Amino acid sequence: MPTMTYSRNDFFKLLGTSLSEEQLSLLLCRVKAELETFGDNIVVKFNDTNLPWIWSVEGLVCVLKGLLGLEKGLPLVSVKSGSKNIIAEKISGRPFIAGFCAAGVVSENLLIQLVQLQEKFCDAYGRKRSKIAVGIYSAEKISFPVRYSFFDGSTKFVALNGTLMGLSEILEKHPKGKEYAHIVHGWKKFPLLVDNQNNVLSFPPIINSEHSGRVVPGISSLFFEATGTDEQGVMLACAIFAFALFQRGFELESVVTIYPDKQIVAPDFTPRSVQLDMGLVESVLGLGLSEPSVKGLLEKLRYDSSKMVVPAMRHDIMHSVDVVEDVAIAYGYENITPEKLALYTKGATSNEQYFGDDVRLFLAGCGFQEVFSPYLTSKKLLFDMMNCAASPLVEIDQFYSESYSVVRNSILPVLLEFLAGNKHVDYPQRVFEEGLVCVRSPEIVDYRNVAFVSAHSTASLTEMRQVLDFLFKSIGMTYSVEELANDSCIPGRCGSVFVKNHRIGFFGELHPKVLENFKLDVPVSVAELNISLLHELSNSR
Amino acid sequence: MDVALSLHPLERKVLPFVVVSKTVEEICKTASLQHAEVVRAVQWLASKKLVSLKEKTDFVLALSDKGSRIKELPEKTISRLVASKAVSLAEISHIEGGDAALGILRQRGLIVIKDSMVSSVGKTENFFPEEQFLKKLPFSPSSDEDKSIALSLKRRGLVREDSKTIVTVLISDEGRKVLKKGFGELVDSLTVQMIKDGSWKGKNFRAYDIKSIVPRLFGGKFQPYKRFLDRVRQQFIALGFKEMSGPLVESDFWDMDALFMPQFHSARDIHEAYYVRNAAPAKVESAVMKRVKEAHEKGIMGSRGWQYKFDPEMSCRHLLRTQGTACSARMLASPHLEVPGKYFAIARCFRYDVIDTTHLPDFNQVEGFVVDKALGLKHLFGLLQDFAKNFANAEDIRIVPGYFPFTEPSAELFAKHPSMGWIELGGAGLFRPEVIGSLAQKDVRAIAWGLGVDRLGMFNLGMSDIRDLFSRDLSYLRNARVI
Repeated sequence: MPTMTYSRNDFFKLLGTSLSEEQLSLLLCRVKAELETFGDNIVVKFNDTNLPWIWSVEGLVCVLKGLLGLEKGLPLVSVKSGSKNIIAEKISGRPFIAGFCAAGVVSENLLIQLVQLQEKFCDAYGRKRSKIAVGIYSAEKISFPVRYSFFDGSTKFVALNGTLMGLSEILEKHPKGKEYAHIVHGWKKFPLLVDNQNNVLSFPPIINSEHSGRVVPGISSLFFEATGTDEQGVMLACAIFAFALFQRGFELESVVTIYPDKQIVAPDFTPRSVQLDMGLVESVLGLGLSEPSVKGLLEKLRYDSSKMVVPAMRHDIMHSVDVVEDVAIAYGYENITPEKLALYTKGATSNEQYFGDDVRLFLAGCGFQEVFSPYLTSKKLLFDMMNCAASPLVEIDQFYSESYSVVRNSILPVLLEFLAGNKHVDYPQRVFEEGLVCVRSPEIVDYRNVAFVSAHSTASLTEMRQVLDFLFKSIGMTYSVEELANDSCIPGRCGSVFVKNHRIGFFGELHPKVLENFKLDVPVSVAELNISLLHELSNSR
Repeated sequence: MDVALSLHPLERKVLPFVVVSKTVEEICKTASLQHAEVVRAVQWLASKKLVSLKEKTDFVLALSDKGSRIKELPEKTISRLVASKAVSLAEISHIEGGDAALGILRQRGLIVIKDSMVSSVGKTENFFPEEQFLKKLPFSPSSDEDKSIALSLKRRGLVREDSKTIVTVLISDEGRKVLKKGFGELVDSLTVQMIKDGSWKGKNFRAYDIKSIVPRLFGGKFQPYKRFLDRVRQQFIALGFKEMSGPLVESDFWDMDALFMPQFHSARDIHEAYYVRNAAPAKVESAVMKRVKEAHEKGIMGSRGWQYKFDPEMSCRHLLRTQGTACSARMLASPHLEVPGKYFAIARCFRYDVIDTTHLPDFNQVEGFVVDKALGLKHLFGLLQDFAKNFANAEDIRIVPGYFPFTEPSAELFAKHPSMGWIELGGAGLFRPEVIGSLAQKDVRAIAWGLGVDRLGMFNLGMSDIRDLFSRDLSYLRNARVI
C-alpha cells in the first residue's frame, strides 16, 4: 500500500481551503486513505491499490474538492494535438509504449512530487516496474521522433549516475541495473529508447540516460513515457501524470506512438462510460434514493452524471456495483444506519474440532500445560536436533529466515525446543500442544496432532503409558503398542500406538543424544498422536 | 480461639526457654535446637503476640582479605629491614601496605626518609599496638584506644566491619499466661488410625495458620491465547455461524484467483506470499477454473473483468495460505453451501514478513461470510456493529470505506480503545458479483468479513508484542490469567 508525502502548504493551496487534522483525517477515510502525519508535511497511506490516480496530490485534491462540494462533475483537461512521434518496434516481453510532452515551469516541489509519484506508481501499480515503468525527460534535449527498439547487450550509453557502459554491463554493475535485471532476465536483446540523433533516452524499464534523463528544477519542457506489458496500464500512467501536470498549469501536447500495425495517441482523457443500475443501488444501499439524488452524489465523485461517464483515470470501475459504492461513499457511510441481521441459522463446528478440544481437556487434567506455537520452523529442528533422517516436507521456496522455512510435520520437536528455552523454570515440566502439522507423502495433507512431553529427574516411559491409558479410557477407545525403532528414543524404550491396526502415533524416552542436542539436563519422555486419524477411527467406536 | 491451640510444635518447644534465655543464640544452646527452627518459632510467637522481639545490630571487626594476606604488620617488616642499613623507597614499595606503614613509622619518629632512602633513627621498636589488636579479631572494640586503632586499620584496608543482628526475645504477659496454663494435649496430624479407632475423640487439634504462604502448585491448563480463540469460536457458534476449514497449503487459485485478485496483483510476489518448493501443480476442478478465468479475462455478471490473459498454470501453484478468505472461497463454491448461511473460520495464515512486535510470518485470521438472497450494506454495518460489541466490547465504532479486491462496497471497522484511540478491528464487504457468479453461481448476496483476531487477543490479554501470543515462556504460561 503506497504512502505518499505532500507539502502541507502546497496541498492546502491546491485544495483552496484549509482543514484541521481531524477534518482531513475523516475526509481521507472517504477515499480509503489514512492520514499518518500532519505537520509541515502531510503523509497519507492509500489502501486502494487499484486507484493510483489519487496518489498524486493533484488527483487526490481533485476528488477531495468534489467531496467537499467545492467542485463537481468531470474535471476538464485540454491537450494540444502534437506532431511528435514514438516509433515502436515489436518488443516482445514489453510491447507497449506511450508518451506525451508538457511545457511549463518545473519547480522544485513539483519535481519532488513527480519523482515520488513515479516511484510509488511503478512500485505498487507497475509491480516494481515489471508491469509498467515510466520515464521523465528534459524534452529540450530530445530530437523527435524517438524510436523504441531492440539493441544488443554490447550497445553503450551513459546511464544516469553512471559511466559509459554496455547494456549487459549496466545490468551487472549499475545499482538500478542490478535491482531490476530480473525483469529482462534471459533476453537476447534489450529495449532502448533512442532519439533521432541516436542519443539514448533510456533503457526501459531499467534506467534513464544521463543525456536527457536527468530532470532538474527550472527546465520548462518535459517528455514523459511509459512502457509495459499492459496497454491499458501504459495509457493510465500517461493520463495520471498528464493530469497532474495540467493541474500545475502545464500545456500538454500529445504524442503518437506508431506501431507496425497501429497508432495510438497519448494522453487520452476520453471519459469512460459506466453503468448506473438504480435497482442495484437500492438493493445494496436500501436508502430510497431517487435517480436525480444518486446522480447528484456521483457528481461529487467527479462523474458526469448526465452522460454517465467518469474521468479517464478511473480504471477501477469494472461493474455497476463499483458505481454503487461511489454513491455510498458520496452519501457518507456515517449517514447509513446499521440494520441488525435477522437471520436464523444453526451454529456448529466440526466433530474433529470438538474431539481435539476434549483431548486438550484430558491432557490438562493430567497436569500438562498447553503451549501454542508457530507452524513454521526449520529442517534443523525437525531432523538434526531429533537425531532422525530427513523426510519430505512442505518447504518455502523463498524464505525470509531459515528458522521459519518449513511447515512442521510434527509437534514434538517444537515442544522440545520449548523445554530447552525454559531450563531455569521449576521442574517437573509437563507441556502439550494440539495443532496442525503438514505431511508430504507425496501429496500434501494437514493433520491435527497432539504431542505431550514430561521432563523431570525421573521422567519415564511408564508416565507416557499412564497418560495414554487415561486418554484412551476417556475417549472410550482401546489401543495396542508395538515396539518401535526410533532414532530419537532410547532403543527398547519406544513404541508405536495402534488403533484397529492403524498406526496413529508413538511414545518413548528420549535418547540422551537428543537431550544433548537440546542441551537438556533431565530425562524427557514423549508422545505424539494423530488426532485426525484417531477421530476418524473413533467414529466406528 | 484459644491461642495455645494454634501453637506449632516448635513454638511449644521454644516458649518455655524464652523465660530463661534472652537471645536467639542463647535459646538455641539451652533448647538444643537449630538456629533456623528457633528463628521461625520466635517469629510465629511474635506474630501471636506471645513474645516481643528486639533487634540490635552489632558491628564486629574482622580481618579483611588484604589483612589475611599479610603475614605480619608492614611497619614491623620495615623496621626490621632498616634496622641495620638504609633501604630504598623502591624496595619498600614491594611490601603490601608498605606506604601507609612508612607514614606511621615516620610519624612516630622511628625512621627518616632522605634522598629516597629510608633509614632507622637508631631506636628499635618492637611493640606495635596494631599487632595486638589484630590478634584479638574478631571482636567489637569498646575502649577509645581500640576504636582509634580500628579506624586507622579500616582506612588501611586491613580490617573490615561485619554487622551482626542480635535478636532479643522477651516474653509478654500473654505469653506468661499461656505458659502458666500449660499447652494441654494437642493433635498435630489426624491419622487414618485415629479415625479408625476413634482416639481423636476428646482431643484438641492444633489450629493451623491458614494465612501462611504455601508451596506453589502448577496445574495443567490451557494456553491463554488458545483459550481466547476457543471463546471466539464459542461466540461465533452461539451467533449461529458454522465453522469452515481449509488446507494450510493452498493453490493460488483458491487463495487469490477465486477471490478475483488479478494474477498481476502484487500480493503474489515471492516476497509477499510463501510459495512451496518443488510442488506438483494443485488440482483444481476445471469447471470452476473456467468460470474464474472468464471472470478475470472478460468479466461475468455484467463486469468487464481485469482484461488480461489468465494463466491456469500460475493458478495451480502451491503456496501457504495468505488469507482466511480462501476458506470462504471454497465454501462458496461447495455443493454444501447453505442459503441462508453464516460461516466463519479461524485460519492460520502466512505472509513474508520481518518479525517484530506487530508482525509474524505465522498469524491467525478469523474470517467468514453471511449469505442470503437479499443482503445489503446496512446489514453489513449491523454485523460489524455486533462484532465490535461481541469481540472488543466496543460501542463507539467508526465504519469507513475500505478496499479489498473481492468485495464491493467495502468497509473497515474501527473501535475506540480507552487508551489507544481508534483501533482497526477488521474489514468487510459484499462479495463482488464476479466472485459470487463464478463460485456460488446462485442469485445470492454475501457479506464477507474478517477480524484481526491476533490484535484482539493482544488487547484481551494485555500484550504489546504479538510474539507473546505464541509465548515460549513456561513461567508466563504457568502464571498467566487464562479467562
